[in-house]
Order: sequence, then C-alpha cells, then structure tokens
Amino acid sequence: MHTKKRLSVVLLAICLSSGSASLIAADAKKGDPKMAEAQAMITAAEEARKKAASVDSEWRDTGKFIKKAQDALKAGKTDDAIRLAKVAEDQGNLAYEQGFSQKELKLPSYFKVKASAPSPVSAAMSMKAHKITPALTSVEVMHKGEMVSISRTADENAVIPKAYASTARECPPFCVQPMAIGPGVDTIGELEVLDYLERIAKGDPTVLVVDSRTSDWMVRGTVPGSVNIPWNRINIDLQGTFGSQAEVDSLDEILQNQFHARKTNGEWDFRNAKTLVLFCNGIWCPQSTANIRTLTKLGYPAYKLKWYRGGMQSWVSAGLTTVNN
Amino acid sequence: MINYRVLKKLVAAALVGGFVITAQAGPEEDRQAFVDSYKWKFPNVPMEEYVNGVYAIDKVGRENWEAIEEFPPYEIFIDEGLTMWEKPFANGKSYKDCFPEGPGIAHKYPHWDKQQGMVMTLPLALNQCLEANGEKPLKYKKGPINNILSYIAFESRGQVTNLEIPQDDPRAMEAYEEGKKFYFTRRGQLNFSCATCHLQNTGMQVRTEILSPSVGHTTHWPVYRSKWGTVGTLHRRFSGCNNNIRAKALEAQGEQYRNLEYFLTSLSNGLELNGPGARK
Amino acid sequence: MTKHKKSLASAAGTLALLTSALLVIPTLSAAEGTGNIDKGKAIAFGRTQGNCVTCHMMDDGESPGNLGPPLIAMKARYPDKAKLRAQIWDPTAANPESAMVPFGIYKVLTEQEIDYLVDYIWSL
Repeated sequence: MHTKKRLSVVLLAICLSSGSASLIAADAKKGDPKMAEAQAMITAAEEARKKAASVDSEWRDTGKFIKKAQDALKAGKTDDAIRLAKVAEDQGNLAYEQGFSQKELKLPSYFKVKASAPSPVSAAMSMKAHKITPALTSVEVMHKGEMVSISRTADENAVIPKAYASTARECPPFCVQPMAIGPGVDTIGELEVLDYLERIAKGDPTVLVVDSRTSDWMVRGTVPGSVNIPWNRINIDLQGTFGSQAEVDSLDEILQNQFHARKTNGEWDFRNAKTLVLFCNGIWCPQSTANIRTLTKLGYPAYKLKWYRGGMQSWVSAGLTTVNN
Repeated sequence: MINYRVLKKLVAAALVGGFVITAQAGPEEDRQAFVDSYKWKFPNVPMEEYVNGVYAIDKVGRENWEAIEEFPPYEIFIDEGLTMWEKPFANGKSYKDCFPEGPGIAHKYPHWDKQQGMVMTLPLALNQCLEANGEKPLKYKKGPINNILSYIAFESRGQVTNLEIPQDDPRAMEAYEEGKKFYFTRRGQLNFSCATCHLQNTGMQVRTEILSPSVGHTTHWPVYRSKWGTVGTLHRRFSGCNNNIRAKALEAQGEQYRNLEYFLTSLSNGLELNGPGARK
Repeated sequence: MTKHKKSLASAAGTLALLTSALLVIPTLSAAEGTGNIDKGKAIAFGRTQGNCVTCHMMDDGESPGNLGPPLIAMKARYPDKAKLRAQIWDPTAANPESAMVPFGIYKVLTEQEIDYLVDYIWSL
C-alpha cells in the first residue's frame, strides 16, 4: 500500500517535472471543473475584448492572449489557460475603460485654440452686454477646449427660446419640483453656478457642473463649462431601477472615471469624489433630481451635491450665454 | 457729438470681453494652434520646411536624408506606377478614364464625398475605379498600390494642400471632428495619443528618434521607409504607430483612419505636396 | 481504487503547492538586496518591459531619450519610495497629461516586477 503511494508520487513528480501534462490531462475529463473554469474565463476574455473593440480601443495583444489560452486549453494545460485568459480579460476591461472614459473629447491644455476675432457686429453687441450683478459682467470658462465668455445679452429683441416658453406641461413627468430635494443637498442659483464654473476655469479639478439632460436637449443650448451626462445614464427610470448589468456598469464608469469615486471590495469610497452641480431643464424637470436621489442612495455625500433648480429655463431667462455642443 | 464718458464705458465693457455669441473656432483655428505650438518650439523653421517632416527639425537626420535623396529609393516605384497608369484594364479602359485630369491629382484628396457620405481618399478612389471596371482591388498597405500612388504623388509635386470642409453637408464637419477626436484620444496599453508624440512632445527624442510635427505629415506620402525596405502607404503607417503603442490597428482605409487623414490633411493646408518621400 | 485516487490527489496537491511556490516569487523584506536591484535593472532595460531608456537618461543606458527627466539623485527627488512607486504605477494620477506609460494600472508590468524596478530606480 505504502509503496504504491510512493510510486504514484514519484510518477507524478516525473510527469510534472518533465513538463508533461498528459497524466493530468488524462484526469481532465470534460466534466473537470478546471476545464469548465478555463472555458468560462476564455469566454469572459472574449467578451471583454469585444467591449474594448466596440469603442475602438482594443489593445494589440489581447486577441493573442485569448488564442494562447485556447491552445493551452486544447492541450489540457488548464492553469495556463486560466492565467492567459485572465490577462486577456484584464486587458479587455482596461482598454474598454480607456476608450469609454474618453467618449467626450477633452482637449489637452497644451492645445491652445484661439477663437477667431469677433466680427465688428458682435464687437458692437459685446460693448452693450448687460451686467450680471453690479460687480460682475462676465465669467470666462473653457467649453470643449474653447474659451467662452458668459455674459448677459443686451440684444433688445432677445426672447426666451420657444422650447422654454410653453407653460402647459404634463405631470408626470414634468412635475413641479420642491425647493429642497434632500437633507444636506443645497439648492443653488445662477450666481453660485457661475462661482463653481469660475473655480473650474481656474483649474479646480474637484468640481464638475453636470447637464443631466439627454443630448438632443443639450445641443439646443447648454451652460458653457458644463459636462453632459444624460440622466438616463445614471438612472434608468425615474424610480431609479436598473434594467440590466450594462446599465449598472455604465453608472460604475461614470462614478469612477468622471466623478472620481473609488470602488474597493465592492464598496464605494467617495472621499475624493468631485463636488457635482447638477441641472436640467427647469423647475418642472425631474431628471437631475432623480440623479441626485440615486447618488445619495449610493452614498454620495449630500454636501458634495448641488442642485441648480432653475436649470436652463432660468439660465436663458436671465439672458446668459449658452453654447450648442 | 462724442460723449467720451459713454465711450469709455463701452470700450471698458468690450475689453472685459463680453461676447454675446459663442466665439468661433474651426479647422483653420485648429491648424493655427498647431502651427503656433511648433513655431514656439522651432522659431527658425520656415513654414514651407514642414513638408519635410522630421527633417525640418532634425539637423543630423537631414544630412543623411539629403544624401539618400540623391538616389531616391522610391524611383523604381514611380516607374512601375507609370506602367500601371498606362496599362489598359481587361475591358479596354484605364485609370485615365476614371481620372481624366491626369495623374497630378493627389491634392484633390482626401475630400468629402457627399454622394457616398464619406471621406474619399486617393487609394479608395483608385480601388473604386478598378472595381467599376471589373478589376481586382489593390491591398491598402503593401504591394502595387504603392507603385501607382508613388507615380501620382510624383506627378502632383508642387500642388498645394487645400482641404475645404463643405458647409452644405454637416456630416463633413462631423468627419473632421471624428478625426480630430481620434488624434487626441489615448489608445493602446502604452496609453499614447497621436498628440502626445506629435504635438505635446514634438522635437523631443525617443531613443534616437526625434518626434515629428503633425503639420506637414500628409504632404509626402507614400513613403519609402528603410525599416520597411519598400514604399508604404499612410494608413500602413497609422497601423504601425498603433501597433507600437500596443493598440490593435484599425482597418486600412476604414472610416476611422480616413477621418483621421481628413483631419491631418486639414492641418497641412497651405503646404506643397512633395511625395513620394524617403524616411528611416 | 478510492485509496489510490486519494493519494494521487493529495500527492498532486502537495507537488502543485511546491511547484507553484517555486514559480511564485516569494515576497521579500523591505531591505534592499542587490539581487532585487539587479532584477530591477533587467526590467528597466527590458525592451518589452520598462524600456525606460527610451525616454529617460539613466545609469549606463545608451542613446537615451529626453522626454522625461534624467533618472539621477532619485532618493533626493523621491524621499518617499512609495511616491516613486505610485508615479511608475500610474503617472497620470499626478499629471493627467503625462506622456509616461501607466506601468501598473495597465499591467504592462506585474506588481512584483514593479517592486524590483522601484528598488533599482530608487538606487540611481
């Protein structure tokens, strides 16, 4: 009995040390959990690779690692297959994050575009810009790599855009929002928004002004210096339920890549997360409030969430500058 | 009667920069931003020199390059290209029927093709000509396409880059913006964007290579690269660059590379074509 | 039959542990061994690994690039070794526009390779 044991140990040692996996392979039947694990890892790696490719971000070697993993699996080398598949899967996920996080083009600071000189007409108009407050005439911000000056129109014929002139709106969904939407979440106005925009323009990386509307609304005009994160990327419906894992993942990405929250061991760490100013269309728009509720439910600190209740309707009513991209 | 007090107030307001409308910035402003950046680094390099790529700013490399240009390695490719241009297809027609203006047409590409709704590049146009005449299309990176491109490039020397984005089709500007976005997007496991090397760090050295400026990049293709031992296309170089930064190369003459070429060519507006080129 | 299988399994298990223990480089103490520094230097100059000389003047590297600062007086520049490691691990944390490869976060190097590399670089 003991000799048999020793013999099998020696045999195993010889086989392993000679690099031959045939003894193991013989045991590695189709039902072997390691084979199944390796196959699952390879499938996951291919999913990750495709995700990266979907945002034009695939890395050079990911496909090669998947092929190597498949070859290893065929040869019965399940440990190798698992290891190689893991490398490929990591690459796919990292590459996807890389591509996804750059979906909105952010021009680097070393690319300094000078807007062309204003035409004489606009120069004349600019000489007539009305003040925002007795002490404030304009705020310079960067919007998509270009300098924009926010001021108040002096065009005597300017009126609120038609989209904001309508006074008949159905509720739901366009219900009048309360003044305060949650304990600790400040409701703010135009001047506070301009303050935050100025901080960002001066290089403060801890603040983000977020236009919560879908892009079809945003292109009609938005607050210069804001970033468009459509509300249905943070909430899927106004109740805040997610339809799929992909939607959870989308929120994950926004939280980590744009808001700078960190996830460790499945728990959110918001200590270094940005202060967010959220707005949407106006006092009848539920989109930004839904987002704020979702964020607070996830644990986003209330003091880091600011709600510009007036939104675009209030902004344009004051005659403040908007941009269309 | 001028009211100086009011005038002073108006001037002060203008100086504060109270633009009511969004300041305008487009492709020409982009190009100027690139040029300003390079001029700040290389104040003594005249604009027309940028067509020589890295040799505009690399003195040592330039000497070697000028020696090579005495007996240009791309000459045989030009000769082969002439043969291709002249040779009739099986159906009796030839390239001349697709391009009645003759071979000096490189400066007309790339351009926005409204009908097909895409950026049209010269290699793509050549293949569309072949396919329309029942001929087999050419591969876009290696092989005979480089012969005919060399011939066309040589015949187009002296033409001036003049890429105009049509105002009557918003898709054209979108293609430009896509190309611009590609240029500034970090890719690959090594996490570089085109801008990292060719705008942010132009003139710096990577081992023994000096990083070339993007202005002037598109004027001298196709290129005989010593590393390739042959002439290759611009999109082949895009693939190579992507591979170098451990990004999976995209399709030659696919949408992304064509949009990138559209953006890059716009950056070289005003510069003379001087292909084919010779490089390390 | 069952007995044979059991012993095989346990033997395989022991051997697997032994072999994997040999493959896994054991964690080292904080003290700098010259062994680490040599390993780190090989990683630094490895073309598919650190490849540092491409952008940095360093040590006896030939034809160095100049995109990054020369790697000298590292202890003075990084009195806190952990900060040097963080810079190599993800240079975009300190400078989002960094032209340096994110060796750790993008897994160009393994954590162990980075440990050796930091030992070497910090010694310059």
